[in-house]
Amino acid sequence: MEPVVSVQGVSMMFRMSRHQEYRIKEYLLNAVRGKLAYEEFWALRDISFALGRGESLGLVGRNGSGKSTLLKLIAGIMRPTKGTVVTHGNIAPLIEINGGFDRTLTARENIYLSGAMHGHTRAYMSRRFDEIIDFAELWEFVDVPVAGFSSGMLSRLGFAIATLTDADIVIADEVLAVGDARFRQKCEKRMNEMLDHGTTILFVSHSAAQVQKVCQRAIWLEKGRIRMNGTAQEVCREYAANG
Amino acid sequence: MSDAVREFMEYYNFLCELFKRDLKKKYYKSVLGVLWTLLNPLLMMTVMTIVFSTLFRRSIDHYPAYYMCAYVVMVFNSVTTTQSLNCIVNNSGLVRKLRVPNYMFCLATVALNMLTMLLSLIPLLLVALATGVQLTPYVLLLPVPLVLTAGFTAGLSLTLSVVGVFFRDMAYLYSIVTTIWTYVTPMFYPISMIPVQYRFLWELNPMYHYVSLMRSLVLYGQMPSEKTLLIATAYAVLLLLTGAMVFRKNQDRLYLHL
Repeated sequence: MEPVVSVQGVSMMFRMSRHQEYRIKEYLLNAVRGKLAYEEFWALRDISFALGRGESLGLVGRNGSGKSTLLKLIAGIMRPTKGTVVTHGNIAPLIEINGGFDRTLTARENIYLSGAMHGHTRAYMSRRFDEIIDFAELWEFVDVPVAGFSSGMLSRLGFAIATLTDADIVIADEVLAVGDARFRQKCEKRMNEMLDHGTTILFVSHSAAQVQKVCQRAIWLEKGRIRMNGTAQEVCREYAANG
Repeated sequence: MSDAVREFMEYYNFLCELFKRDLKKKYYKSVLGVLWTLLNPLLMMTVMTIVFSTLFRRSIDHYPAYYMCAYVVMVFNSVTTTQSLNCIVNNSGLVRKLRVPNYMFCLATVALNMLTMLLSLIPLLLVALATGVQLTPYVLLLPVPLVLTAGFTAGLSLTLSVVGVFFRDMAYLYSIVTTIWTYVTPMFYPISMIPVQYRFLWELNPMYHYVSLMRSLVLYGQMPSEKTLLIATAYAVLLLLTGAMVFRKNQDRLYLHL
């Protein structure tokens, strides 16, 4: 079976400059002094794996191990320094909890804007609209600018948009960290339904227990390298013991 | 090439949503709304006419319309390019979330300002009629200079939207550029004021040619010269190509600087 997500030998290098470089004056001064020095930082090194339809992969690892970078590469927001990332199908990324919304727009307008970013027409989003608001439980706040939303409300809205628009691949980064226990359960249930329908899920969490609930497979990242790749149960057990 | 077209079509809907959003933001909570867009050129024209028309009485007929022909394209260019400097930075929330062709943010800015430019044709034509300009059927060719200006400005805006991400203080420097640009374009003075030996410098300015096209069609009611048309088209194509190239080369790096 052809993989839906295929990551081949991916490495990602960031150039970290020691200077505030966003100003022309400083850039020119530093160029004259010959001080345009960068430090190379490899956030990911030689990562390879593949995921098929309806598979779910959990990423565990400590802060700074490269989990979010890997998700962003798969979402196509960044390009890898080396290696290739190939995906097939519509990706719904839930990467930054408060990101992806225009804060001055209302929940309703953000739903249509997000839809358009995913290539959905207005008519399609209108058909999905009620379901999204139902799931996010935001009927009272449909026409309120999201600038006034709490982080819980934003993540509910983001989760609902991503999971109710027939995405082939869902990328979820710590989305369940906010929101109460009841909503978390609802999300876990929804993710399991999606897996049954053939959606591929990539899931990042600090909580090994949550990864085990949602994912079949897991990868443990340490300092940008794969430390362990196996079933969610094995990896989570090892991670809980030695992480 | 066909990939680029396919990508554009795929995200065309997104461009429309961005356009609607920007439109709403522009007129949200502004009581005068569209009226303000119509009044603005009239107010500027009134001031400029009071100040300068006596000075240039002999060399310029129909001073109000003379000024407004230039105003329509000049203001479009300076406002659009200034806004484009920040258009990607201002949308960083969306850019950071999902892979979308980032040039769409720039195109939405250009499109919104094109609408404003179209609206400002209303006061221009009204003033032309009111001050006794003999309009000819050549007015129907007005879309030509508007499209050419839009092409030139869009190309420049694409380039600037990339520059604006790498250098956040560019906006301050660029405001000086637009001010100087307004003065070196014969907007409220005639080109005949410039000594002949320096005139070629003035003709290097792309905006001069767009302004000339506008004046030929509205003010003088005649076909613009082939030379002007050719230069205006060449600048538009050149800048569009430059903008596309700059964007293509840098689009993968933009995210890292947001």
